[in-house]
Amino acid sequence: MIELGQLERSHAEFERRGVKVYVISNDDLADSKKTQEKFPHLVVIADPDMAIANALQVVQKGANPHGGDANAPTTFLVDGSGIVRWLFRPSTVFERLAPDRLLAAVDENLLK
Amino acid sequence: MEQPTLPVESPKPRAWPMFLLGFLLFLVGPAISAALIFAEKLITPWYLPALATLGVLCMAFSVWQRPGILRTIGLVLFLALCGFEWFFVAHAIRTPEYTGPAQAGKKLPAFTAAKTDGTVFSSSDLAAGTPSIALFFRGHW
Repeated sequence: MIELGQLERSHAEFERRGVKVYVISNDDLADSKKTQEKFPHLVVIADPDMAIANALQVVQKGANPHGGDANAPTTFLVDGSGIVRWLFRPSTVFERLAPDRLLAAVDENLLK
Repeated sequence: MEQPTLPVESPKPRAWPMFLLGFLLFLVGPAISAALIFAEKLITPWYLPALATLGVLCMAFSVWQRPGILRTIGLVLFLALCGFEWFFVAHAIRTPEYTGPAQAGKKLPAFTAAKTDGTVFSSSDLAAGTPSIALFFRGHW
């Protein structure tokens, strides 16, 4: 959850750019509510059936250490008409997009 | 009368310092990981198997300098651990390339899920005029 903490702390930068941040996992509603309380400026989406993950094909089979599948960490920048403008998939599950790199991608791909 | 001189034997190299240096190199990797996590820098830990390889080389040098059963067993065990670290970083933690339908320039596919307040969240929320970031994460493990 380090990544969500970094995004939460950068929320003013996203708000200044008029960009909404949705964070999606296959946690159930109860766990997602806890996440929402911890990160109140992000919009936490509960996707326990992986409906969104399957639609966007970001499911990584067998990646959940407790068994089953998990989301492959992936970030999409979407413009106001629902068109994907940029996406990022790290090469390993350890790597994440730092907020300054994400903000730079927003400036370059969503706001130009 | 001249005294006969005995040949001077050069002292044998000490067995353990090089081996212990190798062991220390194994420990440096996890220490770097802990420091990076503390600093919230999330990167692929290539330094783990790289340092482990250096550690194994030091251990192998120690065994070559002065063979010993304990250090040889240690070398084999740490060599196996080093191999596991390479497998872990080069294969086990890799994510597949994204080949799904939400490519740059394409419209998001339709979907429906729930926000934590119970209201519906769908693909139309991401086409309602406000630019957005949709970030998929691994959840609450």
